[in-house]
Amino acid sequence: MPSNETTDRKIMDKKVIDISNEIVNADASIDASADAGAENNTDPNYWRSFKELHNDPEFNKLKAREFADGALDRPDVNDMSRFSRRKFLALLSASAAVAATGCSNYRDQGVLLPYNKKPEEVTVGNPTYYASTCTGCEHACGMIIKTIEGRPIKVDGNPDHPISKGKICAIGQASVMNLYDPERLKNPVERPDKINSNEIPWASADDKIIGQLKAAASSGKEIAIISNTINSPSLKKALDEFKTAYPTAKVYSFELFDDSTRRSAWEKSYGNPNLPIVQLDKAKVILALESDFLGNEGNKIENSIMYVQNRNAFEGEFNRLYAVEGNASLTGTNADYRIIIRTDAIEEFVNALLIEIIGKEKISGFGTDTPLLSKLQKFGMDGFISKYGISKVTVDHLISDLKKNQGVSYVLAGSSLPESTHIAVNLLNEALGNTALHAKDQSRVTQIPLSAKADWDALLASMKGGKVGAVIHFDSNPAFVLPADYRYSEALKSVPLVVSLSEQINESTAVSNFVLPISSMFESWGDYQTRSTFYSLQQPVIAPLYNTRQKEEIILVWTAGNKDAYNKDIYRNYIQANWKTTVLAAQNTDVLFKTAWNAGLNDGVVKVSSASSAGTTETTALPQGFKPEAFVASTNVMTAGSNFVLLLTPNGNLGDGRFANNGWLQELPKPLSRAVWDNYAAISVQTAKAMNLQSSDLVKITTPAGALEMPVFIQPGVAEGVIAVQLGYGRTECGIVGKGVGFNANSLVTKNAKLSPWLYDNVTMEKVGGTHEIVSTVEHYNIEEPLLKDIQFRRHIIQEGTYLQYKADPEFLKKKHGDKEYESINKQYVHTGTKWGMVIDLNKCTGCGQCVIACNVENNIPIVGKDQVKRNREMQWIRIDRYYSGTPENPNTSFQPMLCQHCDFAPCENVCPVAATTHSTDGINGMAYNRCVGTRYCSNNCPYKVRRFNYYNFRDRFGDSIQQEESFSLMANPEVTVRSRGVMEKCTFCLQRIMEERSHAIKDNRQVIGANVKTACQEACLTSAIVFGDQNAQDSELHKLTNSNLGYTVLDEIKVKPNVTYLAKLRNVYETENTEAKH
Amino acid sequence: MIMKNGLTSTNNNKDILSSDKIDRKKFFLLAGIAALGTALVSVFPFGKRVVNSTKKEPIKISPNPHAVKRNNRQENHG
Amino acid sequence: MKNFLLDYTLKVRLPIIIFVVLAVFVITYYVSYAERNGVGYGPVQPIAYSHKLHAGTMKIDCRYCHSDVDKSRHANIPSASVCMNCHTIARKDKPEIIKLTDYYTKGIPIEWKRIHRVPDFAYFDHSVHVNKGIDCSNCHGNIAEMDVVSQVKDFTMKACLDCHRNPEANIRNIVPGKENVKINNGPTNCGSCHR
Repeated sequence: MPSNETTDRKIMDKKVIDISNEIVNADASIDASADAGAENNTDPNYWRSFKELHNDPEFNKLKAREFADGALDRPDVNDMSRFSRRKFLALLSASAAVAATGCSNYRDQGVLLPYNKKPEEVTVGNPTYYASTCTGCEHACGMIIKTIEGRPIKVDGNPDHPISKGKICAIGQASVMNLYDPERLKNPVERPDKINSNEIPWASADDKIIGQLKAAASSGKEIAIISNTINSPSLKKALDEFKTAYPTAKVYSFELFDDSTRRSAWEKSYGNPNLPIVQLDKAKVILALESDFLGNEGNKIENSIMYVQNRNAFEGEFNRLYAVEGNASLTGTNADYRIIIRTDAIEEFVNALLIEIIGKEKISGFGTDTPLLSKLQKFGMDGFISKYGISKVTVDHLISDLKKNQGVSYVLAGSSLPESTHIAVNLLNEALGNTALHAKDQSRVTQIPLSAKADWDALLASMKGGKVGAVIHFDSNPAFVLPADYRYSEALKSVPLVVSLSEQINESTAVSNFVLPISSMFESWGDYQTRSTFYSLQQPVIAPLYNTRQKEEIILVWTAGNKDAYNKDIYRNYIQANWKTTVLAAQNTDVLFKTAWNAGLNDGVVKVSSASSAGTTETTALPQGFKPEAFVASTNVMTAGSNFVLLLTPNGNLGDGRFANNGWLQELPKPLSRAVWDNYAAISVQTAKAMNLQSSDLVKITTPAGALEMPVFIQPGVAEGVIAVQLGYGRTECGIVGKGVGFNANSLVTKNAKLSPWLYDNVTMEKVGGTHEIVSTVEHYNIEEPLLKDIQFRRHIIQEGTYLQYKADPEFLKKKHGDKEYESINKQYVHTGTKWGMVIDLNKCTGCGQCVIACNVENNIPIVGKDQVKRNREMQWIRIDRYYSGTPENPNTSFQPMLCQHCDFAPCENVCPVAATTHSTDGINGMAYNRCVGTRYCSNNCPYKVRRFNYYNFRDRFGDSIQQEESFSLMANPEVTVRSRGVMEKCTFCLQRIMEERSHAIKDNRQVIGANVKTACQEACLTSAIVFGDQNAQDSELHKLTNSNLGYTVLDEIKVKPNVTYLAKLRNVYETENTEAKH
Repeated sequence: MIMKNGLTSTNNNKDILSSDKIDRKKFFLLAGIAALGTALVSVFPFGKRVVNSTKKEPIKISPNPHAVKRNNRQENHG
Repeated sequence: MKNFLLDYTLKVRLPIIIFVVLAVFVITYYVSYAERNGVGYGPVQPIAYSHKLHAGTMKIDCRYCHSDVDKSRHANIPSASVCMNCHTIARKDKPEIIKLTDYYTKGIPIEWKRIHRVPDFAYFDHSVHVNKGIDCSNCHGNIAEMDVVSQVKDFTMKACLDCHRNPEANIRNIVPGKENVKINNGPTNCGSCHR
């Protein structure tokens, strides 16, 4: 009800005024009386104005009143602005909205930027392939680089390469990440006090360094170039020229793991250190003594391809693999028979074998060699068996197999074994006539042999004595890799000029005066020769992303002695000039040379006949005369002790530690432990029980070289008393991804090792308090736990048999497990046309894990980091499940790659509330990421648990959002969506490759051919265990394998009808039933 | 208590037709300024003037002119 | 007094407000549908290239410039070098050609304003459509009559599926040379476009 407010106010105001007037009047009278008595008052009269002085009555009234005239008046509405605050805000926001819509053109679709001058061979959107060579390790495998719009995005093997035959290992697959690593060195840097860094231009760096090199040479000081294996003939020539320009220059080369003990043994046995190439594909029996030839030793690609030639259940005969080892290695777990003894007892075992073979069985003529026999007298196999508690049955099988397969078997000794063991093994192979398996038509080629220990001792002494003027780290990291008791970093302090050529920061760049960034393998030219029958070429597919130069180019500029000698084609011209006189000398005209050169670049490989392989130091030297006296003379026989034995092994993923900043490789689970992001001390179950250790407990391991605290991991299958540690971890100077990951066991390596640099007996291990959590992608449960024991057999996830059982009855698998015909509640959809399917042959799968990396690269899988892997949130679409059976001390291991099975009756498809996952008419379970709302019901329903959910935007979360850097966005495969937070993802059977084949088929007006599609995992599998294709193509290999009598599907009793078929693993043992672990 | 202000009028007890109208001159002035402002903003590119000094140089990709490409299709043409 | 107010608000003002809001929304939605999906968008291009002249009057085949449309997913915008095949000589004194030559000699790519765009989560493949004989004009309209290219068909999933489900009714022109290719129904499973 509107009241007459104004009137009320006026009434109130009037009342106030009246009251104050009263007060005034009262005051005035008081004042007057006060003034009256003022004459009697001695206080001075204070007055502020004339009115006060004269006692103005009006003024007196005012004085008493608090509020002056008009102070209590209400504001007049009509005098106010018509524009209220509310209206102002409304107008402001409205105009802002209008302005905003007016600013942007919501219909704008961006711009299209075509080439200005398009190269003829480029088809926008289609990839271009180049052949090149991988320089991730010393084996120089051939690779094919897939580029799109100039950016390399995928690496696969080069089928023309005679050794790697179209396959490449995990390091090669993940190498694109090294190219695009935002933490790569981008500019040359000078570090005058080895602490601060200033960027300097190349010309300035070259000038300064050339000056110092010249000074060092003229004053007689040594210039040491320290490198990893040099297997490039042109680089060798360039280094020779460098040595001519700087006469005091010396080249040293090293590797973290090398064949030094094997070579020295070979030299003693045969008179030269040239190791032969063993044709394992012709071997019927292989005995691996602490030799992880399928995992980490030698060229694992070559070894795996050769080994698996005789593992085809449908043609040929299986070979038989025996493994005798202390560590649980990949090879050992794939072996048909595995004998577990401590590593330092292996030589005793070999000697016991020798006395059996030569002495008892009288094989070979060595039986008459008296000094030899007398040396072997104290050994005996029966004694050995009872001393170490191993199975006599197995040993008997081994001896009889070796006896029956003389000349078609081979004994491989691991690189970590000492020289004396290698000599014994050489004798064993000679006695059995296995040298027949040595390749006669090709041999290894070494450009520059690795430096011997004497060379290193001399260098370190010179460094400490101030006789070294310059040290050049030639893309190597000796400060991290060399044995700790060289005290290399200390010795460097006495060297005035330390230059590091490196792609990334490492422990050696941290102690250098100059750090020069070098180009990655995708940006470099090169030529390589590791075998006598061919050369391989490396070509850059992309101009250097940053201000980097090739390390060979840098050497050429320094040789020329002038910074202006550099131009961007300098090394390419150098290689061409070298080839004109050596490899392609026969192409004696420019046109012929150019054609041959381009053909070489196209193929990646140039085959030569052995005779014409020039530019090498050591050529063919097949073992001619074996010297049995070498065996007699070898004194340093390894005997088993009672303390711990420490075995240092390579890790397959990080090289010697140089790839520590590659998150994909760090997150690739180790084959047996399935651990990620760390290394650990693998110990046996018995040791753990005796010392009351749990996995992740910290222990202190002490060797003659030093001590190290690191966590343990209980590894079933390790021999009692053996500790196995992987090297290459514990980088301190590294990018954000690899820094501080793992423990640096290089501190346990001594240069004066009694046995070998990687094998130490007399090692102590003691429990110290604390834990460092080892994160693994599988549960750590006790394999004897009743609920879970042999679950893979009870649920028929793993179905195995023996080879003899299969030969006797090819249908044994179906009979054993039966073809349960449960009634299905779903109506079967009949797929006419293409039906995609996959077969994984578990006989060929060694569990190496290269498929996982290839899938990561192809499908833009993010790295999630250790803490997320702990919560089972690793994002890899394919995983290798590893199952143990038998006893924890001596388990049987089964590997099974598990990926989305693309079930015909997929339980995930029914439950998606938004129909984000559906089944296509050609049998693919597809995923529409833009529809997914993240309910995760599909993952809940998946019986195989192959669906991966993006709990975070892992690219943003891991490692300070390093994956969001611009250079990583160049790495992404543009045909595959990059998923963000909140969507579910899983294997798509490389749908992008299927659609590419479909596009080609429509272009050629033909049907889609299943065999043309190769999934990323299939391409990467070293042993070709994965086959993908069209199940409905009656004449395809896939159809044959899917319907073979060894094929089974996992969890087939739930009738989801998976489209991935596994071929049961057959162990080639004499027992016809594969029940327990073989001991 | 309903406050009166310049642009609206309360007609609770009065006839709808005899309300205090907004000053027409003022309305057209405001509308004109709004239109002018919109036109100005849509024409004038204010965004381009902002200096972006912290922006990093994008990485330049250029293929190597001397590289020889390879035909990788090992397919079966049926 | 209060009852009257509430009654009035509920019975009169609220329905009016709801109706107005809904009506405005629905009308805007349908009226702007075409525009929101790109139909009619014909921006000004950096060089005033006229398809009507080149593809219409001079009858140059689409694939002369957009050469990779039957080889890859993308219908490539021709590079400046393709234009210069003719325009090093043809009308080289005209202002637009001078602009073009300037771009070419300086090596600057021409920033064409993109008109037709399917969202990034849909992987559209031009080559399969062209190789099946579906002519450009079926989706892009009669380009040969356009001086300035604008979008005539809305590229919504519904439009794609309509044609996939019923190609005979929706395909009007066939690529010359592909008359004998049999066109079946296009794939309608999610993975064919959303992978």
